[in-house]
Amino acid sequence: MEIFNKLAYYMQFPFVRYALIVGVLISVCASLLGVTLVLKRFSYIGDGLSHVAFGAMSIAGVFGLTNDNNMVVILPITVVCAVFLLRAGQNRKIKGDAMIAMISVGALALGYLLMNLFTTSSNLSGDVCSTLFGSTSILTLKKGEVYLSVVLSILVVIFFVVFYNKIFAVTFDENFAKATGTKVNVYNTLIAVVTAVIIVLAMNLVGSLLISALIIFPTLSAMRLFKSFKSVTICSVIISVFCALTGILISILAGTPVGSTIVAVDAFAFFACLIAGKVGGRG
Amino acid sequence: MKRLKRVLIAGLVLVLAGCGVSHITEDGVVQNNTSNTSGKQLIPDDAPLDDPEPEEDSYVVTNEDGIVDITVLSPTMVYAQVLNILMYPEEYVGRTVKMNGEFSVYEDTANNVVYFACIIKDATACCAQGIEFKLEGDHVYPDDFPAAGTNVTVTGVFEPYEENGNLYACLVGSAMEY
Amino acid sequence: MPYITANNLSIGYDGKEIIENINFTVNKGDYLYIVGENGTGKSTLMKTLLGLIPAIGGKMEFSPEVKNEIGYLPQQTEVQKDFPASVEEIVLSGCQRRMGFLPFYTKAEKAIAYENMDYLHVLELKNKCYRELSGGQQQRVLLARALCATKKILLLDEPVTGLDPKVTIEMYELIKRLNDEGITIIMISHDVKAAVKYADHILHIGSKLFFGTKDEYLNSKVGKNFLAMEGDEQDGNI
Repeated sequence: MEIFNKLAYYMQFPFVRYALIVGVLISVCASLLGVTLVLKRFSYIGDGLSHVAFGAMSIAGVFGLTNDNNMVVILPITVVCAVFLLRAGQNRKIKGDAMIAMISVGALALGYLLMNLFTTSSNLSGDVCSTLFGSTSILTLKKGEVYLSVVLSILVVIFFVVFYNKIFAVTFDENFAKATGTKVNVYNTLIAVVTAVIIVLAMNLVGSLLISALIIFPTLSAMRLFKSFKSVTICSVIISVFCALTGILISILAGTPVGSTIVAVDAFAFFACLIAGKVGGRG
Repeated sequence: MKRLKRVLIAGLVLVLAGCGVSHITEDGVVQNNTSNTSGKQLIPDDAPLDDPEPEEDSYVVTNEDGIVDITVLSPTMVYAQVLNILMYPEEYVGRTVKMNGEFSVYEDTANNVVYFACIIKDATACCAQGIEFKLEGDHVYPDDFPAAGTNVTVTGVFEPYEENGNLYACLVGSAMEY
Repeated sequence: MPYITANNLSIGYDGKEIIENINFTVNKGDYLYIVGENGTGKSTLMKTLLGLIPAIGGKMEFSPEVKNEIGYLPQQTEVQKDFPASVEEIVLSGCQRRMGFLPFYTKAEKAIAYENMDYLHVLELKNKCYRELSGGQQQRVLLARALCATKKILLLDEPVTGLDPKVTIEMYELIKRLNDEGITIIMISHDVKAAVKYADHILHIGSKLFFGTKDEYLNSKVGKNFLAMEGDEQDGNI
């Protein structure tokens, strides 16, 4: 069939293979984190932190840091924001969602303002657009970036497996965990740091739009189908990987933007799971 | 890669040093001493030209004729492939490349040079890339050329060149169809 | 040494004091009810005892036996009611403290969890999803979880809120049974009649503070007033 021939041809391109590998790895990391973030009601943190990273990027640009070494600025700022947002938990005056919204929109606006004032780029909106939507970032990865994603994913998976039960305890009932001696603050901070690192690095690889979707959708889809934390987690990873692969393949065949296509596939998968769940008698 | 992006995006208007194409003055070979400022299609400094790193799997995918044929790819792949050429120029030196895009012209009236490029946009149409080309043989601008914005197919040999310490992408010995 | 001693304790949140001068002791085997008008700070007191909120002033002392072995049955949050978790996963999470830094639960911990689930008649529900259970079943699951964390002392925050009358009585009887088997109970409740029926000590928090045995409470002015008020409310005459 013609599509398979085309696909076989495309698979010869190294940047296509890299895109598939990194797409899968990032989607594994994002969906694992997504389970705890969504259940803690921090679904929008992916978007929020990637806007913070964007703002930090502009700040780095003001100080003349280029793309090769602006991580020095971006990563700490984003990690600090993540810790600030995720640690305080339920016991605060401005609730989580309002906090994220404030920081997210503020950072985005500040970033754009700074870029307007200080940058000499002749296509500013293109810059912003490509950072936020990153439609081809994933297809233009270097080998080094692929290795980075591999290392990162292994670390995240190990983190999640080793701390799985603690993450569950801290996600399900922070107060009980704290009262019975679990160091809730430590684990919340760890989760925040890991989240920030993943979001910043993944944003460079797949764009800010996509990373938020990768965090939210697979978990919500899995929750329509399964009822234990373990099965929701595993299902979430499977759905996430499947959607990322499918999305990338569809986008290179059909010529659509990669990020949006993956998100569209994720959304479609959600509706499929929703219907399947209702039909299966869970709704 | 990010630096590349910045550079490429900054060069939305692709203005490229030409050579031997303009006949505004006498037929001049205007190599390397034209001053040009904005929007040349730069290749980033960290893309080595003389020192290609040998990769196990080749970066370059060609068709049966040995041509890097970008015209058969989907739009998403087209953009990615062009970016790849610009990121790893050493892999493509000497390769014949066939690409399809918008014809673009820049006239540097101060130096009487005209530059031509073939431009493609990415899937969201917010960014564009392109490669300069120099046609084989004698052509007069504007008579032998289509209107700016016309869809053209350019086939040429990828030969990046240096100017003012920067590396620029260029397809030489090109043939153009429109 | 008493399990818990509170001396001139003042509690509050965000640095703001809401009640001061709280004094009480809890001994092994006690059944203490914390009662008072709504919104007076009973939950705040419990959270302070558990270390979730810092005390504003005064002293709290815990005997070494219970220092790290306090079980807690908090009020349920909205998040939990909709959480995808099986009963087994939730009850096992009560064993967290025993685990220390080990990542996985051992057979021993699983055995404890099963034993507690069995005791509370939720073992047959162990694979069911928490959000599919009835209110009473959910509370029993959380109670099983609390028992995994302790065999000594349980703090319960309004455990029968939202439960229908029959289930409420079952819950009270269950808790009484736990107390009879030696577990110290501290319970927050606005149900003063139950307090009077089951407790042996009562701590009244509100405009007036009172701590003493049940009989002392019944004979005190505070107690009598409160009973009258609450009694009227509960009987439907206000």
